[in-house]
Amino acid sequence: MNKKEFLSGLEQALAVLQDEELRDILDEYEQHIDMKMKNGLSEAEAIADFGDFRELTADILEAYHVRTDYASIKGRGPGGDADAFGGFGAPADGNGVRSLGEPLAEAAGKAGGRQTDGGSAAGHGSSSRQEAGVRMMGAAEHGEKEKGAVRRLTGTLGSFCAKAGHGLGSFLSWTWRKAALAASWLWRTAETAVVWSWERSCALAKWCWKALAALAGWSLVLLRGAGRWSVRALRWLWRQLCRPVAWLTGKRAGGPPESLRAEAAERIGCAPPGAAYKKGRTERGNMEMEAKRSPLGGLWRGIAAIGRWCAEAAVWCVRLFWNMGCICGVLLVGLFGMFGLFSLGVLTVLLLDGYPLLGVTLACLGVTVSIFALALFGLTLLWRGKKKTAEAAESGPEIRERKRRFVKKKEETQPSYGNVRREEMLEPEERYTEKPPAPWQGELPQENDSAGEPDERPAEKDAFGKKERSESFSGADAFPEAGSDPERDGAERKEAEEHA
Amino acid sequence: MNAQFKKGVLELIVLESVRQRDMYGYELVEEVSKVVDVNEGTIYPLLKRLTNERYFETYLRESTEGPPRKYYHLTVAGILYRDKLEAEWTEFAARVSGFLEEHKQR
Repeated sequence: MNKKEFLSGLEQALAVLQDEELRDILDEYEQHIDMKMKNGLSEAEAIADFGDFRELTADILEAYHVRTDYASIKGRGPGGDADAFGGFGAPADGNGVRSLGEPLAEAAGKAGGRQTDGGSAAGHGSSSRQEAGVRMMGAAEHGEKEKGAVRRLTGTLGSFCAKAGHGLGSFLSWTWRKAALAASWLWRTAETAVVWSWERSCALAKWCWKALAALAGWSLVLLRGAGRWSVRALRWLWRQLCRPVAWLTGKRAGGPPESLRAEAAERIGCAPPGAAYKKGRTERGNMEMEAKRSPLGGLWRGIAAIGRWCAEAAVWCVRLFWNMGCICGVLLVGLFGMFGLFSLGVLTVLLLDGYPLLGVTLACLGVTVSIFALALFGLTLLWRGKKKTAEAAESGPEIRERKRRFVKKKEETQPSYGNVRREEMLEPEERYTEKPPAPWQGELPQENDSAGEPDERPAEKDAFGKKERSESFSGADAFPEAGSDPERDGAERKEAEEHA
Repeated sequence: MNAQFKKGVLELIVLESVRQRDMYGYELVEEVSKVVDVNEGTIYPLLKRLTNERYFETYLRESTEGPPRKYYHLTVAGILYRDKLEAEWTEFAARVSGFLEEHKQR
C-alpha cells in the first residue's frame, strides 16, 4: 500500500467525521509518513508502522465517540451523519441542511420497499398461479433492483445536500468569526482611544490650571509691584510739582523742621519769626531784609525767582520725560519678559512630555532672564531727585519725631540756646503772621553775629560742665542731620553730665 | 511487553512528554517510543482524543523543512489530569508490587 492509497482509504473510513477534522487527520498522517521517508524508510514501511488499518480507523473513530462499525452499516450513504434524525444542529456545522437528505433517502427506501412488498404479496394460487408466481418472483427481483437504484439515487441526493449544507454552514461560521473578530478589534480600539484621550485631556486640564495659577500669581506680584511703583512715582511727581510752589512761598526743603521750630518758639517764648528775622541775624540776612524792603529789590527778586522756577521746571520736565520714557521702556521689556516666561512654561511642559526641545527651552530661559535683567537695568536709569529731599520726604515723620525729642531733652538740660538758634527754630511762616508778636525775652543778637557761631554769653554751668558753650555746643547740634541719632548723642551727653 | 500494560500507561507517558515541552506528532511518537514500544498508529488517535477532551490544545508553527507543523500544548485541565494519572499509577504500582512481594515471601 502506498501513501495515496492509505490516505484515500483513511478518508473513506473516516468520512463520518467533519471535513475539517478529517483534513486535519489526513495532513497529520501524511506529514508523519513524509518524515519517516526522510529518515530513510519507504512508503510501505512507514505505513506498516501504523499497524492494522481497521484497528487504526476504529481507534480514531473511538476518539470521536463514533460507532466503529458505522462504515460497514448498509443504507447509509457516504457523508451521512449518525445524528441525522436528531434535528438541526448548529448552523456552522451544516447538520440542518445535511439532515434533509437522510429523511429523503429513508422515505425513498421505504417507498421502494412497499412497492416490492406489494408485488410479492400478489403471487399466490395454481399453475397459472405458479406462472403468476414465477412472474411475481421476476417482478420481485425487478423490484429489488429498482429499490436499490432508488436508494442509490436518494443517497447521492442526500450526500449532495449534506455537502452543500456543510459548505454553507462553514461559510456562515467563517463569516460569523470574522465579524466577531472585527467587532472585538473595533471595541478595543475605541476603548483605547477613549482612555488615551481622557488621560490626555486630564493632563492638559491640569497643565492649563497650573499655568493659569502661575500666571495669576505672577500677575498679582507684578500688579503689587506696579502699584507700589506707581504710588512712589505719583508721590515723586507730586513732590516735584510742589517744589516750585514751596520755593515760591518761601519754604525751604532743608534746614530745621518746621514743627521743631514751632515747639522751640513756644518753649522759649520767642518773638514770631518775622520779628526775629527782621531784627537781623547775619549780614546776609540783613541784606536780604534790606532787599525785601525796597520795591526794586523785590522786582529783581521776583524775576530771579521766576527764572529759577522756569529753570527748575524745565529740568523737572526733562526729568519727567526721561523717567516716563524709562518706565515705558521697562514696561515694554517686562511685557516681552512675560511672554518669554509663558513660552518657557509651554516649552518646559512639552519637554517633559518627551519632545526634543531641550535646546530651545534653554535658549528661551536665557532670553527671558536677559529681558528681565534689561528691565531692571532700565529701572536703574530713572532720574531721581536730590538725596536730601528724598530722604527728608521719605523719612520725615520719624526724623521730625526724633528731632522733637532731642530738642525737648536739650531744652530740659539747656533752657536757652541763644537768639540765633531760637530764630532758626522758628516757623518761617510765623514771621509773616498778623498776630501781635510776643515780647522777646532773650537777648538780641549782635549785627556781626553770624548763624552758627558759638554763643558769647558768659559761660554757665550747663550739661557739659565747665566747658564754655561756644566750645561745647554748635548750631548744628540742635538740629541733627538726617541719619544721626539724637538719642545716642543725648545719651552720651548724659554720661558726660554724670561724669561731671 | 504486554500490550495492555503499554496501553494503560501510554496516556500518562504522552501527557508527561508534552508537559515538558510542546511537541508535534512525529516528535511525540519518537519520544514515547523511547519509553515503550507502541504502535505508532495508536498515538495519533490518542492525541486526537485528548485534544477533543480539552487536555491538549494545538497550534500551527511554521517549519523550514516543509509544511507548518501542528504542535500540542498541555492545558491546565491536562496538567490536573496528568497529576491524577500519576497518583493513580503510583498507588497502583505500589499495591501491585506490594501484593507480589507479599506472595513471593509466602
